[in-house]
Amino acid sequence: METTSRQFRQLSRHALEQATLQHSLDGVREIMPRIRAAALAERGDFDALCDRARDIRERTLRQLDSYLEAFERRVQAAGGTVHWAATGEEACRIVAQICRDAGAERLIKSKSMVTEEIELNAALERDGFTVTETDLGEYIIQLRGEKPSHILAPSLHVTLDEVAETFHQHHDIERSGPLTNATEMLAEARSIMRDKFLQADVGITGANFLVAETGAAVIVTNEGNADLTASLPDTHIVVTGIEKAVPTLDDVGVLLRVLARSAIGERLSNYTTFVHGPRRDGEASGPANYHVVLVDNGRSEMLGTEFQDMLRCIRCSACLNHCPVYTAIGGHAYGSVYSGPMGAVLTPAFAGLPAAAHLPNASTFCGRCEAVCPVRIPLPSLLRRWRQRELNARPVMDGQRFGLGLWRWLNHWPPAYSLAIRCAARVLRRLSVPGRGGQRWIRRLPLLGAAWTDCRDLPAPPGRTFQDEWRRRRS
Amino acid sequence: MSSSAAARDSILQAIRRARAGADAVPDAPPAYRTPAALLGGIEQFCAYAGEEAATSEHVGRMEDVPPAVLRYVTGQGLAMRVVVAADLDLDAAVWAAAQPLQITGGPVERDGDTLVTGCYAGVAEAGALIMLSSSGVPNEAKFLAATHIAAVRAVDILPTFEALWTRLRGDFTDRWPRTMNWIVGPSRTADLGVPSKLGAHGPARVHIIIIDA
Ligand code: SF4
Repeated sequence: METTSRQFRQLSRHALEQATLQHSLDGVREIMPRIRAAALAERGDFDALCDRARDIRERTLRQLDSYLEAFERRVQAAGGTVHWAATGEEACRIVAQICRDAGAERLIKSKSMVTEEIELNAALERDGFTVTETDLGEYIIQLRGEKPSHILAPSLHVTLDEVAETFHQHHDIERSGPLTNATEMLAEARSIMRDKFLQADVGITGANFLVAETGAAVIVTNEGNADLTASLPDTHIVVTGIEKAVPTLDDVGVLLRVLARSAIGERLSNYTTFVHGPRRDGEASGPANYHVVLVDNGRSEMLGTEFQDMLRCIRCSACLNHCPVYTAIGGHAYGSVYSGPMGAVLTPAFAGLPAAAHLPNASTFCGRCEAVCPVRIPLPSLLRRWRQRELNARPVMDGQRFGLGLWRWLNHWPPAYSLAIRCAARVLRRLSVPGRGGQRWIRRLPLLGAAWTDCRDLPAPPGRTFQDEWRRRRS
Repeated sequence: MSSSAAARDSILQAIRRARAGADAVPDAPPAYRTPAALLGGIEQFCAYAGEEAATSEHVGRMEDVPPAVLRYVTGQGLAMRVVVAADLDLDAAVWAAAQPLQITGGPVERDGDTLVTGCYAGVAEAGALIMLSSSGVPNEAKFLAATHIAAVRAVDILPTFEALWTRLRGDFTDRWPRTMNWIVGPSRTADLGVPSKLGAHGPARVHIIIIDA
């Protein structure tokens, strides 16, 4: 997986300075937690559902081989073909071959994070195919040559004016100037997309779940683009990760209940589609050819490791929407198609720790991600494990290692610890000035501390240490 | 061995290696049971579909569907032509009651067409219409139409997903319908800002006619 995660620091600094991006992120921060909370409130059993969802995903991962085999048998019995790809390149090759065999030129796609991860579009375009994304957000960033900045709302960073400008540049339509409102833009995109749907030779979709019981690929969207992608062209290819298997329809029901509520604060997305195979005898329409490409690309390597829990992820994006880091810098700063807390765990696994070492460090460990995750992934613990690995892998002593070493030493020597903390508390108190709410604040710190106070004030400690206070109260 | 077959072996082996030595997996618990306080019926179905911008009305019998369609089409100022899917079990004579509405058997071609279909079931907990692919209805029609009018029998409105699974397993023991579409209100997108805009790719209007008898 290609990433620019090494430039995390520069990219996040740049993101903080972009006013329009900051405006979009303000929207995420304000709206998404509120609508999720409202959707949960009416479901008194949400916690029980999340426990169930976690157990379902956990149980599946522990028997993933048998569920994948059962799914495969079902698809084959319905007349479809299942392909297995150990790597992203293999998956791209398989898809390209299916398209060539179908004599295809024009391909349409509905949004899928796995295809972003394996960079399927670029591979297919290199092979001479024309690929059109049909999810509106994906279509916008495809025209702009950008990567998704949110796993569900890929064009979150693009303003309405920029969408108008993009359509003006790329759509071959006579008009006096860019479109002026969202309704016009939607109408234009809809009419352009209609032709693409009707002319396409192959439709490529992802899948949210693969049901072992029935062989269904379950595809969830709000726009309805995946349904047209899956039903109009003569060939339908589902490209998805091996971890998407679930045992039964009952399990899908539980997961769907937590997915839409966590993702968009709704009971269910507008369209949930279960696809079982190609067109049958006597059917009026539907693809004659149906393929499912199961992509590993590093997933099986995570099984049985300390990162296995991450494979429970159902890509709902709640952890992004609730993360103080993601909502400050947006997705592009992560330099990976997976951003936010889930991206900070997944990217080192898929792209290698050296390429993504900054990401697990970009967390305050506030724990909101874990608290909102519907499959109860312990994201902060997983991030901490990457941090440990990264620190241990560093070849030389650097500032961070030295600082942590010093801290460790202090913790082993209680008298030294007490003395150091007492001095620090007093010095910080001295540096502070009275401020709002009766609290004292430090405006400027020297040396390393300046990195904090250059951007914001630091609340001053009370001047006494916890130990002093403890002793005082006990006596 | 093809590369896909080799990948299959290597992936399955890697999965088996990873779980070697792990504890036995406990049996799956019985199906989830929604607490009684959350269980709803037709009212919940209509309210939840309504919150997702679908409209609904009740009629007494199947034969009342054509006049209801005429009323809706006229009320919305839509073109006086509807495509009626074959899954709606109504013969031509009954549709005569909807004149001057022009009735065709499809296909849905133009953006702006109105499609009238039947419906396998409704699920109250999500306000969802459950539609199955069949020999008579091209699946894409439900997404190409600008307006979708769906008639569903009140008895087919089920409280929960679990009730739907039970019914599906009874109706299709082994050969599942090729596709099953769950539809909650009109198509929409949030990619052009908040609030969402209706009519992204699929219908911009969804109207549900509930047949009480
Ligand atoms: S880690 Fe959890 S909260 Fe984040 S996207 Fe995955 S399932 Fe959702």
